[in-house]
Amino acid sequence: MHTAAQRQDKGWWFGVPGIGWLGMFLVLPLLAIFAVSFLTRGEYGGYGLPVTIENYRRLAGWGELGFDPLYPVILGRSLALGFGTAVLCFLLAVPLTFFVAGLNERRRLVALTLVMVPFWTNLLVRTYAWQLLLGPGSGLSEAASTVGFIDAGEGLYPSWFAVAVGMVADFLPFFALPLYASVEKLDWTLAEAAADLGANRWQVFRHAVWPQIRPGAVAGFILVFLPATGQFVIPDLLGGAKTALLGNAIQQQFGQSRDWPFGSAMACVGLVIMGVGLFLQRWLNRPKEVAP
Amino acid sequence: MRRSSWFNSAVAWAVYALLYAPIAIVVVFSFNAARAGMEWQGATLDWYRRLFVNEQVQSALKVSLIVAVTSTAMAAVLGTTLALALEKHMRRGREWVNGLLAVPVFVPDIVLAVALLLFFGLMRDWFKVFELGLTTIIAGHVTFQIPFVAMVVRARLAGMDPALDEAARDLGATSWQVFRHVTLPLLMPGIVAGAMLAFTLSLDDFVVSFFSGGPGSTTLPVYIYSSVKRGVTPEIHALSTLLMAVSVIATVVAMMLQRRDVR
Amino acid sequence: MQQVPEATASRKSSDHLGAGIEGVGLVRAFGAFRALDGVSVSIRPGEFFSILGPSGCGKTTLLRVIAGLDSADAGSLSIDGEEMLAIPANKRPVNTVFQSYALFPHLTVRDNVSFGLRMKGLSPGEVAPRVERAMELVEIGPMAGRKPAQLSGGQKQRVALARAIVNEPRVLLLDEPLAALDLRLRRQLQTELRSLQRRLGMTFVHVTHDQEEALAMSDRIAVMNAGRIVQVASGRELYERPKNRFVAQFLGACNLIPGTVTARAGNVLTVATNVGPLEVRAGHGTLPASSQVTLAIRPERVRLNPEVPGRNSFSAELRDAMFTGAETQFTLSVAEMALRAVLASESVGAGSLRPGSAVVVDLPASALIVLED
Repeated sequence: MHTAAQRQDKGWWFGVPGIGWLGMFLVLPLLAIFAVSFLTRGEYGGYGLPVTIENYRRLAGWGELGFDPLYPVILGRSLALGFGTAVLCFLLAVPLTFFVAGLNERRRLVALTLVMVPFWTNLLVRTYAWQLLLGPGSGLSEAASTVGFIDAGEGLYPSWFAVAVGMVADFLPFFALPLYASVEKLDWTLAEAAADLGANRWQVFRHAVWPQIRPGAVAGFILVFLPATGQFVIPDLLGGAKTALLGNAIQQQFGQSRDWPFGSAMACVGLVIMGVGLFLQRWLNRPKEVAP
Repeated sequence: MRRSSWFNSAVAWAVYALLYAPIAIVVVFSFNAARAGMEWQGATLDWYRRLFVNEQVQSALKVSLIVAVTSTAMAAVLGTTLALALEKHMRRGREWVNGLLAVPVFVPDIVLAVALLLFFGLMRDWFKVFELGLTTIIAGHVTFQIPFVAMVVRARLAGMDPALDEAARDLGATSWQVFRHVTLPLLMPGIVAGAMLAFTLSLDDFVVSFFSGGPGSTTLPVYIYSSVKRGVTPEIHALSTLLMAVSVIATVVAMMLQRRDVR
Repeated sequence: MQQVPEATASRKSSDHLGAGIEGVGLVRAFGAFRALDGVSVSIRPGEFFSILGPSGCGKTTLLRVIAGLDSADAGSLSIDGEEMLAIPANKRPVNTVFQSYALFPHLTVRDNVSFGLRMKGLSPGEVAPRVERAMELVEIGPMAGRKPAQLSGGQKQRVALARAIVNEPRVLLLDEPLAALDLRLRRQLQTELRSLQRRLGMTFVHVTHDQEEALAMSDRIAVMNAGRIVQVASGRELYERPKNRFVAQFLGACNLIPGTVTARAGNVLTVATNVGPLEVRAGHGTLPASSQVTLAIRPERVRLNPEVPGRNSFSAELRDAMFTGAETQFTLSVAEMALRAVLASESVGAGSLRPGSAVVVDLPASALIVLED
């Protein structure tokens, strides 16, 4: 039967331009790097036959001269950077969001906006500002050398410390916002009930608060961990040359080294990490079945 | 566990310091008369003045604006139509499209950038299209902007009473009239907010612009990157301050529009 | 609400503005759930017709199918003899007042009311006077420049009404129009809606789950349950002659007494029940001896300690008496069965009916109803 309500469903055509665009400029390019990752580097850069899994063997550590841990180490370091950044952001975001949630309504809006504003300022600008703030001769570096954290005359930048500061400062808003969404809805009567029943502060957090904010924390963790793993501008500008990571390794293969198939294989590893992360998030935040 | 404790507020203030210290230092130094170093040598607007006669900056600004305006306009249309289809019309395949939209948000910039670089190379070899330049940068920006526009517009659509559409049809409006007189006016604040967001994303993007650009299509962030690599000059501080100001204003306007009630 | 302006009233005075609606075998399924399970209904031109039922019974779906906002999987629907199912909502001669009002939040009251006429492409000169009249009719003239967010619930309701009737539809559909309002306002608007319908002569089809509202406003009521129409009748008939248990219990309180037919004499049936043999007036149906039936009686028709015991009298124990103001409610126990009775408080002598005392109960034959199931 041809009826009015069925007729309007033709509106799905509205989605065609957008989906078509993403198919062309997202799906095809990702398929392209997947395909190229199984090809061989050409003589003058570029790529060609034969089809090989050599790129992935190299990534896994099979070098031409036996085992070479370079790339597994780079991958591990990138994952550690992403993970470490997410953990640090979590440790800072919990007190921050609790603080914001405790403010009155007007101040809360201001406090939240203040968390978001830096997020919309240029990443490069903020990163090079850390070069200034942490560089040799800056107030912070001198303070650090006074307490013996670094030698006199040196700077806090370039170093892993500088990378960590830059990463946390950049990614914190990504963690704080989803976490805040959970903290704002927190039912404090549960915490009070737990305390009333004799739970200590840790037990109250573990059993009455954490289950309520867990979805926000998982979302924030993934939202930080995934991009942080592939981040290369911050390590590039703050870490100096010694810190090779997945991001700048990919950049190098597509830049100076001109080994596109190998760079593509690395990018595919990045995609796999993303896929696993998104799957984990969905799995961890899956709707719970309600007990009868 | 209490809502407010000295520990929470201390960490919160430290976080705000961490977020704002780099911004503050850039803004302050953009007015510092000293050419180099961390010392304050009096206020000046010289660096801003010089920006306006620096041809490289002028050209990078022009490229950035062309890219941001064009890509934002395209992403606003594509993201809005996609949001409408997803929220109102699609029954099957919605999960797939949601997954597709998550990719540009979560994928590391560098992966998207090299994937596009490779893809544009193939297109160039096979079809003689997509010479690296403005077009390719815009194409890349639209790709990562679409999910953000769609996200904001969908949130607004979800907050809209579905009976409004039905009421309009019931009162005799054709599909086009419903869209023109009810859906679009109600969505407008969401579309503008999404577009503002997309605009700042484009204006701030470095990685995709860096890989998809060619000679003569240097955007501001790419210019800043190469300058930072060479050594920062106070002009960069001034330029960065202006860039931040534009982004912040766009974002605040977007947030205010988003807060306007649907009901 | 004000008098209908001359133009509207006189033009249509000769015959009904309202249209008749004929639905036959309408089916609407959502997956395995059948919201409409073969609904046939005939609504007369110009009547105030209510569709009454519990939530989920399909009443709103039926309304939406009439409006064209939902489709039917099978059946036919005609308005004034014209087949409607293939016609989209925007081309049907009906307008709807939505439960949520669905006022356009970005438009003023005036622009909301004029929406339908503007969509039909009428000139501003034609639109303006009709809009003013409609707004006057429901007394929202002073709000014309306001946005919906600045209106109270009752005012929104009036705007929704004006927005629909300004188009002079043949049928006005009302989906729980008063559900969101407080009791006092609801009572007032019930009266106003009723008189508005009489003056406009439109067919009103009104969906509600509130039986009192349906009884107060309607010419006829269709009681729906589980996707089917159970009974269509005037409010009084539904109350006094319900066809089955569902209708009997959905409209007001009811005592149900199961029994078996033992004899028939003329139009008097004798039914054996736990409380003893009861005499009942037979309905139209033929009930052979030994068929199982359920008898129903309203609590206010139960007589306690009658001066002249009738044929259907028996004694019972009074368990509980509850004074609720104008009425007093009694719970009686007889043969392991609880019976409810309601008396005007005035007629209950002080002290005569105490919990624990024995009473004589009379169930008048004229008050007992034989149900179909």
